[in-house]
Amino acid sequence: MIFTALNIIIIIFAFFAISRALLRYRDKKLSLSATIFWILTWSAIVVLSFFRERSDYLANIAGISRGPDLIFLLATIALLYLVFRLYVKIESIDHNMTTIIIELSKQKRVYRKQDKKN
Amino acid sequence: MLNVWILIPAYNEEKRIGNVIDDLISNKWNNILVVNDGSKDNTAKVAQEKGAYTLSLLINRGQGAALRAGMEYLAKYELPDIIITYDADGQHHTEDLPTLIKPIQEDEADIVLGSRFLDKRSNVPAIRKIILKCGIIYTMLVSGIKLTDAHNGLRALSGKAYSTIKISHRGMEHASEIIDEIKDKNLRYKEVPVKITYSKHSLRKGQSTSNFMKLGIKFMIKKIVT
Repeated sequence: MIFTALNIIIIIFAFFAISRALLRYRDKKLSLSATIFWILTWSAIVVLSFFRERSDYLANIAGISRGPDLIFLLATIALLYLVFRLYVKIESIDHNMTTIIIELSKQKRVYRKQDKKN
Repeated sequence: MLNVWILIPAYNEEKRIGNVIDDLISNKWNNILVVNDGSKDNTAKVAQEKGAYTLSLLINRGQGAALRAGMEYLAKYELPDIIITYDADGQHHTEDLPTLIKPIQEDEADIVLGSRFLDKRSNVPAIRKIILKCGIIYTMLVSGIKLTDAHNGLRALSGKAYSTIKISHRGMEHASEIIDEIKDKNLRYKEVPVKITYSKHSLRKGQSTSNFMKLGIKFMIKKIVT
């Protein structure tokens, strides 16, 4: 186990991130599953920072030479997946907004000048 | 007597919509629904003054959304035999409308698409021609349908077509989506020659090369993801 200044920074940041997640959960702005996900993610980052030599071992199994490279690769894949999920969500919200605006427009009576006079 | 409705999506066209409606009414196309797509000017007021029915979207959502609103409204309240989609900027001509609806009247097609390339009446600028030809190739690759003009706003839809086609793209990608729907819903289609008149305004409003590429990519991404 290696303890360096980087570990201290990671622990502080993880503590901050987990506390924010818990506060958001308490305020009902984050679901339980999302809270657990972020707690586990940050905990894994802290653990990995202490056992970097283990990440080298895992990297070798995956065919990558260095542990940090494996971590960056996995983090990139996870971020891309999150971006994909966000994109789908945004598209869905945009589509629903259009549907609401169209439904609202159909509720107002449609008329023309001749009809108004009558 | 055939119940034909002209559906005009319009955004900030107060200077042109009046002439368009006058032209339609003087040629006896009296059933006109203008969908005001969140215009910042007096498009809706001018359209009503000239004798069109007007539906207004609260905020600007795009031509696809405007067409969808108009088609859903007409399908629910008017049940037309034919809906003709028509541009608000004066690009289209009433002289083409009888030719446009004829294949539907004779039960040869469910949807009729106007094409500016089937005759020589349209004076298509060179750059625009290249962009449109790329659009034709794109449409063939994506939808598998070979057309001579894949992005023409002048179309006639039968009852079967307008009630089965679902427009989910709110922007200009709806044009590609409609062609996709033709294939998915097994609709009979036909192209007829129409005249497109270009003005400074319509050229400025139309698709630039970069916009066209963005639309194509956006349509493909949405097709894959959703």
